[in-house]
Amino acid sequence: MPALTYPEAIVVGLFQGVSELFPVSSLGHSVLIPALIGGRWARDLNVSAPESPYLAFIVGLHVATALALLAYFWRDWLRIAGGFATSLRDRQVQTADERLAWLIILATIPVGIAGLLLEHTFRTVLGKPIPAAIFLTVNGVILYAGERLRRRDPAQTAPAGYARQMAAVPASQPAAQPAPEQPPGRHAVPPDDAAADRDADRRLAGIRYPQAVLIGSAQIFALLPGISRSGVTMVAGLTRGLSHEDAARFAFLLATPVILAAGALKIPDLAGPLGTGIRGQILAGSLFSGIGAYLSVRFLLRYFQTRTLTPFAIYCTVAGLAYLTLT
Amino acid sequence: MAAHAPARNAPVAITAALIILGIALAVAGALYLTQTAAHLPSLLPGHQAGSAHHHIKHALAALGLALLAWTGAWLTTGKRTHDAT
Repeated sequence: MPALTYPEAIVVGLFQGVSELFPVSSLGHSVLIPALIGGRWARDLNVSAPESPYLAFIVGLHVATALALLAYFWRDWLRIAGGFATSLRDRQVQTADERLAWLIILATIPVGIAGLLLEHTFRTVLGKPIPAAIFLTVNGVILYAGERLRRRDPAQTAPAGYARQMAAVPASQPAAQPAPEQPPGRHAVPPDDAAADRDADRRLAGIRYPQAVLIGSAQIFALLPGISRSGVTMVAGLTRGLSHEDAARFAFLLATPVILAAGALKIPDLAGPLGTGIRGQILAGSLFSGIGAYLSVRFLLRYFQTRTLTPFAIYCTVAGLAYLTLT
Repeated sequence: MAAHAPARNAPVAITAALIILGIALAVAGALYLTQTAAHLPSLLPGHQAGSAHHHIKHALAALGLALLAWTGAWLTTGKRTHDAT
């Protein structure tokens, strides 16, 4: 029997693709679901085992998720890459695209360093059902606290510094239609998706550099199994005055290079002996993971136009506590 | 109104600091690439007595950060075309 069956690969791939972007922790679910099912699943899908073929499988899932994010935000990434190039050419960071490129780069450095230093230790020591259930519960509390903090502090819903900074950032391209200056968190009705993306990126470019680094650093907590990367990043964005939609968008843009780098750095695992005999399963799982991630990001960006993190907070708290109580 | 020469994006000291930081990171990256964990200086993360492991990911990160520091130094040499309001 192979170390990983096709049903295992497809179910876990789909679940990972969805839960990587939903604020419910993919790593936490990767630990808890096999443990709940038990038997062969718990043995095959063990993230804390140092030489588990499952690690090679996860690499494929991460790369697929990152590719799905790149595919969804391809217009944004083209503009961001263009902004990066023009900032180097002109030795200035002025336009929204140039600022957004550097905001993402600077915000990614802390989690990149922390990931290199801590990921292996955290995964092998804490990648077990009980710690994952505890952190999943904590994740629910963080999401709920983020919503409460945002509501309690009216100044945070429209910080003057953010609005001023946003107004000072020139757009790289002319707006598709004349629109009055929007306060943060409020959106004009866009003529099309591309114009809406440009407007959203321009709002994000108004974030100050220290705030962006703070928001990006929140991803470090997601090294703990059970803590959601997109969840803690969104909470950090919300408490810095972003709207739900902008916080989600920034979280997904920040997650793309991190997930891609995490996957790319471990590709040797995929090509090496750990991947032997399960490459077909990895391909199947990655395909479903990519589809799940693409549909998730599409759904979540629409969901957060009008809704909050509260349902995810309730789910994480209940799921974490239920696991701790019932096992 | 008198014409002013365009100001630098940042003081020369910042440029120099970023260049030096880049050099230090590049040296660390080279050490990670060429030395085993046992032979790394103890002040570098990843030092482990008796280990024959090469920290390739640490090397890539250090070299990436070096490149970023030098890119930052390059940006600081630009001239401001307008003052921020």
